[in-house]
Parts: sequence; C-alpha cells; structure tokens
Amino acid sequence: MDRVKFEKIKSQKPFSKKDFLVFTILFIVIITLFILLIFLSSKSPTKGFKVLIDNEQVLEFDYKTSIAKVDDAYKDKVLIDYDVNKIIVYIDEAKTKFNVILFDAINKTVEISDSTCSPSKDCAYMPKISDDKGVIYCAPHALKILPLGDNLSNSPITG
Amino acid sequence: MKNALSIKKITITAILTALAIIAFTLESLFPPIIIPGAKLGLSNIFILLTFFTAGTLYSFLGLTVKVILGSLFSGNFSTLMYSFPSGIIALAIEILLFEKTENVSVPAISTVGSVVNVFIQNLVFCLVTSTLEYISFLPYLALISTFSGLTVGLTVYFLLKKIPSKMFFTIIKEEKS
Repeated sequence: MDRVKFEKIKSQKPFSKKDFLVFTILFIVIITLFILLIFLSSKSPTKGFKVLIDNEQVLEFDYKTSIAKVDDAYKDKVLIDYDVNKIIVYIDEAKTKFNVILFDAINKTVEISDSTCSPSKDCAYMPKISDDKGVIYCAPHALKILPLGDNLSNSPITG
Repeated sequence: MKNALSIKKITITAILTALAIIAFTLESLFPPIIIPGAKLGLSNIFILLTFFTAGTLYSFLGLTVKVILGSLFSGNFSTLMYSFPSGIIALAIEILLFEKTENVSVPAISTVGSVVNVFIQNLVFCLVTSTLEYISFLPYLALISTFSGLTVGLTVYFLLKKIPSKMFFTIIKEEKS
C-alpha cells in the first residue's frame, strides 16, 4: 500500500464522479440479465419430480398417480408418508443425515422443508418447484430435485 | 527490518482474517437473504481492509484462509469449491480496479467485486453441480450483491477514514526502510 494512494482514499469522498460510469455499467448488466431471464424462460407445468443423489436416481414421483417409485438401491434410505405428503431421504447408512421433502400432488409442487446439511439449511429456503424449469440442490448432501416434464422416465424402478 | 515488516503485516493480516472468519461463520448461521446463496458478505470488509493495510499478497492469503477455515467452521465444506475461485477472481478485479483506475471510489470497487463474485460463484456452482437451471438466479443474485457490495464498500471507506493513520504510517515507514 503506497502512501499516496492511502492518502487519496483518506481524502476521497464516499463516491466520485467516475462511479457513475461504474454503476451505469452494472445497472445495464443487471437489466440485461433480467430481460434475458424473462425471454428465455418458457415454463410449462410439471408432471412430477425426481430425486437424485450424486446424479444417481433415488426416486421418481408422479403427481397423477401420487405414487413414488423408489430405486431398489435406495429402498432402505427412503421413508414416504403419503398422509402428510412427506418424503425423508437419508444420506448415510446411520441415518443421521437427511433431507425432508414435502410434495403437493394437487398443486404440483415440491420443496425441501428440513435438512441436516448445514446450519443455514440453504436448500430448505430454495423456492418450490412448480414448473419444468425449477431445481432444488442441496450441495453438502449432493441431493438434487428435478421436475419431470412430458416424458416420465421408463427406468426399471420398483415401488 | 524486513522480518519486522513481515511480522507486523502478518499480525495485521491474522487479526483481520480472524475477524473475517468470525463474520463468515456467524453469517452462515442465518438463513439466506431472499434467495439461496445471497448474503451480505460482511467478511469481505476485513479482506478489503487487509488489502488496504497490509497489501495485495496478504489480502489473498487472508482470503484463502478465510474461505478454507470459514467453510470448515460453518460446517459446509462443499461451498469451498465455488466460493474459493469466485473470491480470488473478485478480489483480483477489485485490486486491479484500485491500482489501474483513477478516482473510482472504494464503495464502487467493492460493488464491482461483489457482482463479479456472484457471477463466478453462480457459474462454477452450475457447472460443478450440473444444475444449469440455477443460472436463472443470477439476475436476482447480481441485484442483491450490488447492495451488499455497496454496504461493504461504504463500511471499508468509513473504517479507513476513522482508523488512526498512525497504524498505516508505521507500516509505510517500515516499507521504505
């Protein structure tokens, strides 16, 4: 840190005239992003959702039938309570790490309501998936919830 | 004399980095602002202060330690993969702006750094986690980061104004000797 520059900061006002240019550029960038977001997001309803861990499918839920098809490998790690529309996905064998998924087959939405991933529980604050463009990702657990579009997967999954 | 200089700078860096880690950890305990990933980034106040008081190299060291230990302490080590590259690039841009431009204020520099930070963070997050859908969060994150960058920048500016010059002058004196 050289003294001249340091003195310059000390004598500066909080904002300078050149800041106007900087903030204008930032404003244009952000507005452009919002415009792109509006034009590029053509959303359509979702038919269900699927849950993946490390990009491996755990389960698939169809809103029409209201039934979840759980992959064989994850049968011991998934607990489904259809009465309260809740799915608990356990991450580890000891079942100490988990994500609680809430689904609403009538309004066709899904969200994470609770998780043991981190104190801030970022995934539990992610918006509900209500269309085919949404996604919920829990980084510490590498758990992903994706909407199902027109084509429900035909993978050999048993319920 | 060089050793004394390094020790003094290392001490300042250590204190400011410790404060940055505390801010980072405390902030991670709170829910995100409006959308996931959005936060004030108060720890950046101390990283920017490290740059202004100790210099470029020390600020990068402070940032590296903050991101690694902060991720460990907050119990969310997975954030390291996207917050580290974004932090380094954002700080580099802030320093370049400060060094290469005339009369751009500290709040403006901090705002640019904050926006760049979320850009890189969002892109790396999308690529690493294979969730390109998260790009749709970028406009909102950029907007929030403008305000958080401005807050951080104004805080740094007023702190630099209020902290006694004696602290900085000592360092400058030693640099010359």
